[in-house]
Amino acid sequence: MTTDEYNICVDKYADNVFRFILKNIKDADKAKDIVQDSFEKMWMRVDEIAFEKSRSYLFTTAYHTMVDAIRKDKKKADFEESEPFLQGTNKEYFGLKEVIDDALARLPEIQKTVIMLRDYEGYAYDEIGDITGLNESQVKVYIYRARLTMKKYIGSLEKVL
Amino acid sequence: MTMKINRDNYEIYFVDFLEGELTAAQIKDLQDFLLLNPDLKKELDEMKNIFVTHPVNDTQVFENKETLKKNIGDKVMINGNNINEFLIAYLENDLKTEDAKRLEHFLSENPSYLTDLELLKKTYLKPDLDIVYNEKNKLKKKTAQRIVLWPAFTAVSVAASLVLIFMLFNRLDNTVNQNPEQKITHQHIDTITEDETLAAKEDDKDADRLALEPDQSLIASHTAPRTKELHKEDFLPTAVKSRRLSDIPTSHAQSLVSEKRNEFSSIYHYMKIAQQHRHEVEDYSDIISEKPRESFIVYALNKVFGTQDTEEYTPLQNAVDIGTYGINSLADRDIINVNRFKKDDVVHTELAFGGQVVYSRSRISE
Repeated sequence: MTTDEYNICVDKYADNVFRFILKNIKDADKAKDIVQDSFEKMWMRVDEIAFEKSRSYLFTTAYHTMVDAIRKDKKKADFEESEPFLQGTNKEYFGLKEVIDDALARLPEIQKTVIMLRDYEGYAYDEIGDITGLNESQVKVYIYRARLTMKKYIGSLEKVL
Repeated sequence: MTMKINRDNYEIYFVDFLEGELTAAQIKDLQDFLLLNPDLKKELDEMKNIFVTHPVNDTQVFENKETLKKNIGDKVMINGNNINEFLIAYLENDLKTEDAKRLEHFLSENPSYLTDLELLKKTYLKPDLDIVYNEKNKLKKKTAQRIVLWPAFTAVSVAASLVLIFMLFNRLDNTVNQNPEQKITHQHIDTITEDETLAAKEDDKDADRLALEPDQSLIASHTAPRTKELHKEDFLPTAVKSRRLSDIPTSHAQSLVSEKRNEFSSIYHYMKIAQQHRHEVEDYSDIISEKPRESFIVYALNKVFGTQDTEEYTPLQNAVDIGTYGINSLADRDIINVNRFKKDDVVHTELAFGGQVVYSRSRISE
């Protein structure tokens, strides 16, 4: 990858990576650090990474950096094992987008990650597997569970909207 | 099983018996054994309870097995229990065309499930385009005429950094117990001082005093017998206090070396590319010489590390051969700095690496 291509990656993917991380960790400063760190890592290996693989490299690097950051915050246990938080809420909602955001936020971290990679970035199961270190079947199961959980949550609130 | 049953191995016989693995002859042996050891008969009866589901004794059977069997081409029936899985698979494009048609047919016959389909459609996220990374320019790298060499030379500058750190780190252990006098006797014109300039800078008054006055402790040490002849330059005042390299903080260097050790092979590769391309870009012809320069950097590093004849020295020399300007401009930051200043007719020259002065020398101004 040339320097020009690297800079194209910045234009094309910095927003996407930032969005992906921010939605996961809800901390803009940390998300910025992770984006910066991911691009620096890619720059260090710029001549080894093919341009067409750059997006995948960035998301993989950003994802693992994020997981490390979460581990440091001692949230790792929640990350893989937490169950959806589905009890009732007293929050007032003003639209479907807010409900969906809330449903997403309530998913276990790993489900949130795979569903965002799927919906935001349009990654295939195997590509998500490459990024997260899961196998294809696990990715599929997590996506199915996430959709079912979100469906239940949205369905339970839609009546009151 | 070939061994004869006895009180040491009877449990194996019991298990095999309960699992129907014994031959008729072995069963006869077991029966004989139980007659002779009636106390173990009870134990066998207790073990039978564990094997209650043994097919031999199990009279309960599922009578509708045939209804569960499938023929090739049979499909999973869509029903209320698995409708969500089918709907998700449908939306995810995981269903085969035939199954998708079956689902659509099922939905047409059971329209109440269309609500589930609509709810699932709402779980598909759309990116929030209001969220943007607004510091992209900070991530970008300069291109201009550096397109060909930028990655390689940046790697070279990084390589130079890493090699320097690596060599510094390695050298530290070797210099910890080295007699300062021996180090001084290796010098001819320059006074080598593994210094603490940074510390001296923290106290300007001390630094000035040290710059103006000879270091008495250093001079005193030079009065001792030496193995090599000393020159008067050895006694020059220095801007810094003599200090062992081992005193320089190395935790950062250690960390970097540890992290980057595996990247050394690729770093050498980058250096080679840089050397090969040096003629291709005119912009750098002035900072990349054909032959290794006897620059202050090379000289200083040789003095500090004493690696002139070692294998490590060659890549180091190649790396620094592009000069401080080359390294720093390519890296867009100060990796190596050479500072010169004059005080009381004495010219001091310092080599700073990563902001840390690692070498200094002093000459009488001509």
